[in-house]
Amino acid sequence: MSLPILIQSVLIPILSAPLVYMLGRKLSYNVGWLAFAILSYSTALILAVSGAGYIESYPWIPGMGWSIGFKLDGLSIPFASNVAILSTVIAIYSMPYMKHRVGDEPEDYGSYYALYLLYVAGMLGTVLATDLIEFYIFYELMLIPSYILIARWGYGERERIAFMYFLWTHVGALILLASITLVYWITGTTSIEGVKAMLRSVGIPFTLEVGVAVAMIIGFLVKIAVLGLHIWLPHAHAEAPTPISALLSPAMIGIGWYGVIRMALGFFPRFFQVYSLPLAVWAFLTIIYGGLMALSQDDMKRLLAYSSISQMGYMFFGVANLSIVSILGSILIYLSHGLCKAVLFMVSGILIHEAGTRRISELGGLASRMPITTIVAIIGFLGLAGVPPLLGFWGELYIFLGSIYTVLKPIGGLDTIRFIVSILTVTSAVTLTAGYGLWTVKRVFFEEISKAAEESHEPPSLMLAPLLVLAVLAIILGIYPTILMNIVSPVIEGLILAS
Amino acid sequence: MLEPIILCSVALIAVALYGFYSKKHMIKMIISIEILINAANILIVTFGAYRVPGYVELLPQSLAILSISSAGGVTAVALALILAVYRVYGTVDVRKLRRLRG
Amino acid sequence: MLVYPASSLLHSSFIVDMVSVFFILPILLVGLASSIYSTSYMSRDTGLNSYYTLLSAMILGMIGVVSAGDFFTFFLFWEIMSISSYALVAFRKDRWEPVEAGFKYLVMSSAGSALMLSGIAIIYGIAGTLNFAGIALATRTPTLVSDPWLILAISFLIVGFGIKAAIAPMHTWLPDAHPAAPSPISSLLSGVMIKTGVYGLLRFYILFQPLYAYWGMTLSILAFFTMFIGNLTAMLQTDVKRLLAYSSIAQIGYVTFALSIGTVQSISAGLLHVFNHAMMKGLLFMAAGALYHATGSRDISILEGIGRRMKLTGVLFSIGLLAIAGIPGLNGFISELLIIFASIRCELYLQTAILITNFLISVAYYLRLLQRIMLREPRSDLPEVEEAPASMIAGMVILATLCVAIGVYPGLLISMAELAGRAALDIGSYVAPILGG
Repeated sequence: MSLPILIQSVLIPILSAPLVYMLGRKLSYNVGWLAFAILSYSTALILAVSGAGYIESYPWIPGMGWSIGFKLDGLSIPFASNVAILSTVIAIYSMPYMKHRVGDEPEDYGSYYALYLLYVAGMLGTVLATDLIEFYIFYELMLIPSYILIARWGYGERERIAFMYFLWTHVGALILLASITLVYWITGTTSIEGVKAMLRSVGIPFTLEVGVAVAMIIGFLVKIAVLGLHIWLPHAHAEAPTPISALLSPAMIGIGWYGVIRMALGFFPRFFQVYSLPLAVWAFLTIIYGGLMALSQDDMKRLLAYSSISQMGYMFFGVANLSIVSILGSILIYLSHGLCKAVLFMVSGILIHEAGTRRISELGGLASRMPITTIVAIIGFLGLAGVPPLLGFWGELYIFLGSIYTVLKPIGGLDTIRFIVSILTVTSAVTLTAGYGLWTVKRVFFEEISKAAEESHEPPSLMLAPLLVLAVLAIILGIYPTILMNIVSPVIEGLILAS
Repeated sequence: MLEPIILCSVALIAVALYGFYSKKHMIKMIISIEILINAANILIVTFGAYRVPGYVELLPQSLAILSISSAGGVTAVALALILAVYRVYGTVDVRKLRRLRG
Repeated sequence: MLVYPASSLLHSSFIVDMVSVFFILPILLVGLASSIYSTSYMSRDTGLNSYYTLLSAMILGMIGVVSAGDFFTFFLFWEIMSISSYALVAFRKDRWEPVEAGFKYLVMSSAGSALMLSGIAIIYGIAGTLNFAGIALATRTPTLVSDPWLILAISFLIVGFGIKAAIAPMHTWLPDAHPAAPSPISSLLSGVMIKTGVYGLLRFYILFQPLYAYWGMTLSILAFFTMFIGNLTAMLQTDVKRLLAYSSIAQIGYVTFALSIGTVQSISAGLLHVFNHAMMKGLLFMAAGALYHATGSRDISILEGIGRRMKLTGVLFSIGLLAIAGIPGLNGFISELLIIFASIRCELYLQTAILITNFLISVAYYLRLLQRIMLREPRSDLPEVEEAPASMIAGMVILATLCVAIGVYPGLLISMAELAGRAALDIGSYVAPILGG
């Protein structure tokens, strides 16, 4: 029996949530520090064992053969550490933001941070789970608190939007559950590794494989919000309280790809091989749609939300191309998007906090008032566009190298359609992303100074520090990405080569 | 001897069900329920007495007595309720008790 | 398995096997919680000595029903339970609603018991004994399947149990009686008493095993009808307790469906859901009662946002709502998942799809209720309210703790449910004491 390290990192936030709720009445605003301390502890635990990977297992319902396990390997390390670091940093950022949002209502801080901890624990549990049922439980655990957070502290028609968010993702999760029960019925086990081994050794009829795989992938794609299943995302991400947007978009939706890579791809490799091209076309359309919609937005947070759809399209493209390099690129994009998009959402929170608006047309010329924020925002947008030496550059480079590799792979000659799709994606994606990014920077931070910008100045240091941490991380990982690639690539090689 | 009694009991059940659905007077509905219970009692007693010739089983007879006494309890509660209904509504016609939509 | 007196076809007797234990446990737990809760909820009423007597009699009746070994004992306790519940529903007899609902309940339910009694009589006529095990032995001959008398008797029994369990179309008393009763009684009625009807239906598996095939068919049709009626009408309700009452009907539909599949896995899943629903619905009715106690209203639009004034009650209410909505980590999820598993195991894909649709519909209205009670700003004309008294909170905390605990660690309860599911189908060991002499 190994030391209980990972279970602590998930359970301590859950167990301390009621405590935080109760202390919220006494500590009011300062309860944020407590949440920060708890999440730092979890982050430290995860980072401490992420060098070599770690696995724990506890019996849960022996009668049904279900166990609770936590596993940190090359695939879950980037996801888990991204979630842990983002949530820790954003816990600090939330304090001044919530003060701005709710004022001096001590009860609100308690419930906000209690829900926040549950939400984070849900995300951590999802990426660490080793059992399908356990995975599903955590997958839903991240839904409930985020629903309440949006419905209670969001903007605009927050209740309707939260309800829409809940219904979309819950239906998606139920479809996922249906596929899990089918998998259980086929293999008789719910452990992820067990199912993978059974499916590899037994082999099932291809039609059945397609049915189960489609159900499972749809379940994940709703959470990811690819084109066609994305209706809820722009609303939810734009109207959620900004710290929560900064977790929803960079951390949560990408977890869907973790599910696809870990489960769908691991269980049903044949499905992906057969339908690789249609999926790649779907990904291409998602990228274009997200980018074009982002170009036409006037609301900063809606723009970022559409940009997330586009970025998820990048990851989709990487996964759909099904080569080691392109999937590696997808995971790098997840990290880079996580860091940069969190930075950008926090910047939009700063704009709400300082200038009192998030309409781009009402902003302008902020660079002279808040130079540090401007620099960080530029780093964020450049990271999305994939400009070296930021991490996004490596992600995009790898995805496109991988797609070219897949184009060249067929021995009989060049796959023309695939070639055209790849070239179109490469050119249009980069252009669109750089286009909306730089144009937004220009409209918000440069040009003539607007009325809203006159009054504003640099935000309090508690809001600024988290941004700087993440921006610096994005640069460091961009300069030295090898550390990540060494961890991630063996797992993906195992995944692809075994099929 | 068995068949005529069974037929009589079935007839009673039919009468009770008819009364149950056609009568709107609360006391008459309670009487229908009483008839229904008594039809069942007759069946039980008959089967207990005639099923095996020359031998009367005791448990069914006790079940009949139990059922008679429980019917008394039900009737008592029902009459108390009817009194309460009369106090609140000033009538014992079930058609006037239409505030609940069920 | 406990049999008392040891072996007898002639005496009245108790047989307590795992199935009975699985029903007795929730009866006692909800009974305990609602008695504690009553101490402050009923403090403004008079006639409390008879209230607590009736409450105890009702709990006694329910326990007797599920541990009876023959129809004599069964009917005795059935009547004790029924009569005390009539009186309890109409306990606040000076208001129009309890009186009207109580009368409706009394008429339907006592007609049901009378029909059940006729059914018992006919079965006695066929089998020659009132003892369950004896009946099981006597009806083993396959020729009985087409016996019209047996069919008639079984339809009488189905109506009798169905009225108590509120299976559609015999459910019309429930949405009136459960809201009208005092809240601790509602939580007992909805949480456990309707389950005695389910228990009766479950015992058919031992009593009439030649009829398995027809039996599953009939039950599953009734079950789907019940869950659709319950869920669809629950969406239209504006009264908290009426909404919960309709949701009970839907939940009975899920349980009945699980029983209709008739495998060990499905029956244990259904039994687990019986247990879980007792905890959740008991909690929900008590929380709704606490809101009613504080404001004097059950109208959802008046109660909007009250969860932000009565924090503790609100949180407990939310736990109940999330649990019954089948959110993972709470107990409702586990049993609903197991029902789905069991039905997929038997390759009932269409039925599973209908079931999942129903779960989805129900999530919508539970969540909307949660949103309105907990998240909205309180109405400006909401009267000043205080947190519920300690003993009411204590009653709710007992059940809420169980909801969470079972959700987090269901292993023990699942293995118990599996034993119960086996016992429900194991005719051999059920009749063994009789055969052994």
